[in-house]
Amino acid sequence: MLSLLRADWYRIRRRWDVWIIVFGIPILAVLGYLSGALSSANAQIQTSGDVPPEFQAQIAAQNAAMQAYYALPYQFPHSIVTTLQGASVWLVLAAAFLAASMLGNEFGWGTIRNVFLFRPDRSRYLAVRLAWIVGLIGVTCLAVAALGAILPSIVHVDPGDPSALANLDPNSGFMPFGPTSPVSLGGALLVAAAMLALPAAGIALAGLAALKFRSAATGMLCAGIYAAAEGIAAALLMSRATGDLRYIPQMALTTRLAALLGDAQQAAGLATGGGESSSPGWVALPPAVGAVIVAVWIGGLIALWFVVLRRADINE
Amino acid sequence: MDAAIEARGLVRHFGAVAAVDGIDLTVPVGSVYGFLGPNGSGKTTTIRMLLGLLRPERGTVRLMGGSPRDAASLARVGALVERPALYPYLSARENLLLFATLAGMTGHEADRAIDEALGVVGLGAVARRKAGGFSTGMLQRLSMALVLLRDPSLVILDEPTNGLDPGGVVDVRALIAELARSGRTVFLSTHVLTEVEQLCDRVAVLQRGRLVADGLTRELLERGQRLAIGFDTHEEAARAAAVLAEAAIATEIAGDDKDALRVSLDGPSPSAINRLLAEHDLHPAELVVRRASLESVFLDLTEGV
Repeated sequence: MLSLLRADWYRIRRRWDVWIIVFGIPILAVLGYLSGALSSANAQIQTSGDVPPEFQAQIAAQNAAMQAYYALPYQFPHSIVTTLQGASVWLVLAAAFLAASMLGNEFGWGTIRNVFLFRPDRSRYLAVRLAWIVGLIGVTCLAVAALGAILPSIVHVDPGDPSALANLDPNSGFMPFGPTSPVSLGGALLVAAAMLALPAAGIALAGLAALKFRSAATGMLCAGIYAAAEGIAAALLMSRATGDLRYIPQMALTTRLAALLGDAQQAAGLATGGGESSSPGWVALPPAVGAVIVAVWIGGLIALWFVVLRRADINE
Repeated sequence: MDAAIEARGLVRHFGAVAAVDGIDLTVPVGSVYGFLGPNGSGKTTTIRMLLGLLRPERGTVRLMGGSPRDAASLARVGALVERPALYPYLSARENLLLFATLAGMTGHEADRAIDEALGVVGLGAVARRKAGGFSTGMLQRLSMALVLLRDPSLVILDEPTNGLDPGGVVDVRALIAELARSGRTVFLSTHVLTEVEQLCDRVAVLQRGRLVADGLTRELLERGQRLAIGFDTHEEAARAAAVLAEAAIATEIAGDDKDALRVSLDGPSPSAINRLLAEHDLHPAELVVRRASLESVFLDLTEGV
């Protein structure tokens, strides 16, 4: 096993795309965080001309509330969720790309044949490859989360008077809807953990497609098409299905991932309504059941990796 | 263990096409075994099944006494299958280091094996260049280095001289001869018949997924031998043909003046034929045994099927 890990290290250390992912995504997360933090400081109700005195106090109260509200995502530990959310699209794409390229390119170059001539145990080969992919994406996620924890001490976003949040008037027309209280460290970590399911699903889907179609590019493409098609099909079914059939679209991977994130945000006090969707036909499932369905999906897709590779003829 | 490779009843289809159709192969330890066949005859499919890369639908394979999917069996095998397959972004040395690591080698052991393999194929000077920038010939040499990396007892080579310049071809042939001299078993699949004639002591010929010949190269060449019988007149040649036909010996009229016969030497010896002709008062002006080339034997075997 150790020699397989070391051989994979020799493969990976010279791949510039891997290092762009590992170092580039945290840099993008920092840039996103800085951009958001700087613009949050400008969130104020703009007035022009003379404002009647009876409104000046009201506007000042709303501005104080807005300052406190927009500063919330940049306060520790909420900042961890903020950086991860900012980098989430990159993380999912990177995870899918890494899985597809690390598995599919071996077929494209034909090197899979030589690998199996030197180490015929296909399951072990795949397990080590999976460990590297998960490890690299895990390190990247960890780096992004760690930056999210550190950045508030470097880039300070002044919340002003936090008690001004109490003055938020969602009906004023100026304020966005949303939670108005700081998040706990446990809540932030819960959301961060739920967000890791997204790159994990990306790895599982793109990896399976790359193994099945024996190509990195086709793997990426097929994973993307599947996710989009499944999302559309689930939405369609959700709006039309009745009775017990309503549960079928609730089982879809994309549906459950969105719900999982929503449930975690609700539990952390970062959202209201949890994983529920406004879609007609939505059936709420207990969060634990939803999480188990996601785990079964990802575990099942990864298990299929092993089945596909074990049965594969190596024609390369 | 007498056989380095032992395959029984191998069958493999691709769709409706039988790529390999009931092949039995026995490659004795220490032999240089030529594996011949036209394009699409099933050679590479057979090799992939021998190496455990493809699953046979039916039949069994024993490789160095074990299963082809057994790491211990494969550890004694070096194989080059079709086109070179290497990591383009790694240097020649890094490619070999990666596979040496997979083979369980570490430190000095790996370094020594890599230096030795690169030296044998003449790539020592470009060891730090990326494989992606190599010519086809250099990639083929690097693949040969990979074959030698584990000091294998059995070497399986599928078209090893493909893409090589004449100098490279000579070098690879010399290397194969050297491998054979060192007591290794060599299984050589090639289109180059002179290569087989020069190097192989045994040969098998594959046609449409079936073995049409399998045995000692010398015996196969003897099977293709012809006796050329020249006469002074074409009338004598015609009479001789009739006499031999009566004795169930097939002949072929040859020569510009139709004054010669060609007889396959599968049956009676040249002296027996001469005696038979003399008994009928036919005295050939010339009796010559023509040795067959592997090319003519190969064409006879593969075109008739």
